[in-house]
Order: sequence, then C-alpha cells, then structure tokens
Amino acid sequence: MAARVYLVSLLLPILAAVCLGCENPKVTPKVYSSTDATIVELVAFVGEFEVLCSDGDKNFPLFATLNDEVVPVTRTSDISKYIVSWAEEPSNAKSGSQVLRFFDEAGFGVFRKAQRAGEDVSKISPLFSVPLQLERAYKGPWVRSEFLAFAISVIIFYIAYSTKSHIMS
Amino acid sequence: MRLVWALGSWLVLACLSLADDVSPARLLVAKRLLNNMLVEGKDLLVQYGLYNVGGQAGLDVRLIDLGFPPDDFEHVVGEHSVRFTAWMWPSTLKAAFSGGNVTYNVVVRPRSYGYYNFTAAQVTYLPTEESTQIQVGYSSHPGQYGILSSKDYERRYSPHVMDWGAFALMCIPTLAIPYLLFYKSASKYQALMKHSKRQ
Repeated sequence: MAARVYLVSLLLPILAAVCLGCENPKVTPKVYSSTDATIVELVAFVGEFEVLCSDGDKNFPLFATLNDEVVPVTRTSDISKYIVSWAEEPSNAKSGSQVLRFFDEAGFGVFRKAQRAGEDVSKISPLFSVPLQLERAYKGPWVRSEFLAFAISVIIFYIAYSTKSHIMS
Repeated sequence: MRLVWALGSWLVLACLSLADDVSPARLLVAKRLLNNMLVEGKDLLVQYGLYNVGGQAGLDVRLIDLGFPPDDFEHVVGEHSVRFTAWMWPSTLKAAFSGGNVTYNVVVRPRSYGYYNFTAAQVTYLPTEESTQIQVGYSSHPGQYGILSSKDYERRYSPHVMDWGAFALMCIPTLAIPYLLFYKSASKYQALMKHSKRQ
C-alpha cells in the first residue's frame, strides 16, 4: 500500500507537468518594428502575443528564441499577453524573414540542455512559432536635397556656359 | 580521527554559513529614451533595463510606469505595467537572471510639443524566495526633454522634396523661355548661313 502511495506521489508531479502544458495554442500577434531610424539611437522590435490554449489555461510561462538566442519575455500585469522586445543598432538590426520560436517550460529545458551540449537546437520543436518579416528602418536620404539641388544647378550652369562659349567662338 | 571529523564538520558549517550569506536580489532599473530627438506625433522609444546586482534571483518582478498619461502620449505598442516571469523560470535560468539583465521596450507618440518631464518608473519584487515583504524601487529619472513640434521638425529636417520640386517648376519658365527664343533665332541664322554658303 505504502509503495503504491509512494508511486502515485512520484507520478503526480509528472502528470501535473503534462496537464499544465498549453494544448493547441491560438496566437494573436501584434507586431511593431521601427521603420524610421532618423530620430532614434536604436531601432526596436516589440511583439505582443495573446495566447489562447484549448484548455483555457492562461498562467503558464513562455520562453522565446530568435536565431537560437534567448530573448526576454514579459507579461502584461493581467497576464493576458506575452511581450517580446529588443532594441539594436540600426546598422546591425535584424531584417528579412525571421522566426520567433516559443517554448513552454519543458520545451525550453530541452532547448537549454541541447544548447549546453552543443547540439543542433533548430530540430527541437517549439510550442508555436511566429514568422516575422522585418524591414530595414529608413535611415534618411542618401543625398541631402540641398546638395542635389546645388549639383543640378551647377550642371545646368555648366551646360549653359559651355553652349554660350561654343556660340561665341 | 577526531581531528579529521572536527575539521570536516567545521568546513561543512563554514560552507553552510557562506551559503546563508548570499545577498538578496537587488535590482537596478534604468529608464532610457532611445530617441536622438523627440518629435510630436513620431515614435518615442522607451527602454527599461533591469540589472540584478544581488546574489539571488528577483522574484515576481513587476514594473509600472505612470509617466505616460494617455492625454499626453498615444500608446503604440508595449504595456506600461508588466511583470517579468523570473519566479517562474527554471532554476538554471533563475541563476542566469540573478546577476544578469533584462531589457524591455515600449513605444509611445507624444500628442503635443513643448518641455516634458519624464519621471521614474516603479519596480516591485521579492528579494529572496523566502521573503514575503515586497521590495519597492524606482528606475532612473530621464528628466526634462524638449519635444519638437511636427511643423518645426518638417521645416528643419524633412528633405523638402515638394518645395524643391515647386522651385524647379518655377525655374523652368525663366530658363526655358530664353533658351527657346535663342534656339529659334540661332536655327534661323544657321539656315540662312547654310543657304548663303550654297549660293
């Protein structure tokens, strides 16, 4: 009897861990990335993710990775949304197609273990992934419009002056 | 043998007392504005950096910033009241968070221009796993910044493409009309010269 109780007590945390996982998550993302880098030192990415599990579970931690690097996840005070954000130099900012991978506690444990062991972490299946299409932020015009206007006026003056010299000669 | 036992027990006690001496979590919070220039109606990036200089992980870390009232700032993305899930993290990650740092970003847009005093955000956390008393702290205080009006910003920094286009259009008659007159008379004289050469 005592052995059975002991076995059940051993199995309970495992069962709890299995039951606590989020099943069939439905994700509603709201994503922002800086498009104008003319007035900022760093460009930012902020993503708000509302996650609904089929079992209605809301209180579970999530961990996010981008390019196999861990990015911090925060939650709103009412725990309704998960927020992922980072800021980086405009010249080094991530752009193009990126995939933000979200793990639950168990999945993230496996990810960290594989990372420590130097294994390929891209094969670890996440709880869900969010594809991102990040555009490069606008850093201002290549040439200042004043300079362009000056250059065009110099060219026009040169053409006019050379034509005049040609006629006079 | 007794001496070895005594030394061993002293070492164990010393280790235990050292383990007890691990300082509680101590969070330093920096609130930074990531803009070079603050402009009315343009994105203002606010970054909060949380640095744990204590010996243990900070638990149930919450950040509240009431410095962006909706009358003065339009909320774009990110929340002003968030919680960091360090207390939920696995032990390996807890260790990483203790002594590590976390950043969090929010984007707002100023609704008006003029000087604005950016105040500190408040952070609350449990400094140890056993503690029940919430530790309250405040972030750094960015201070007073001038917010440029969108009209002033456009006048000073925009490429003025429309203005230069209008200027070019206005320049065209003053250049084109004399050139056309010259071209007409020049072609007339060239035709006359060719005609006289043939004769």
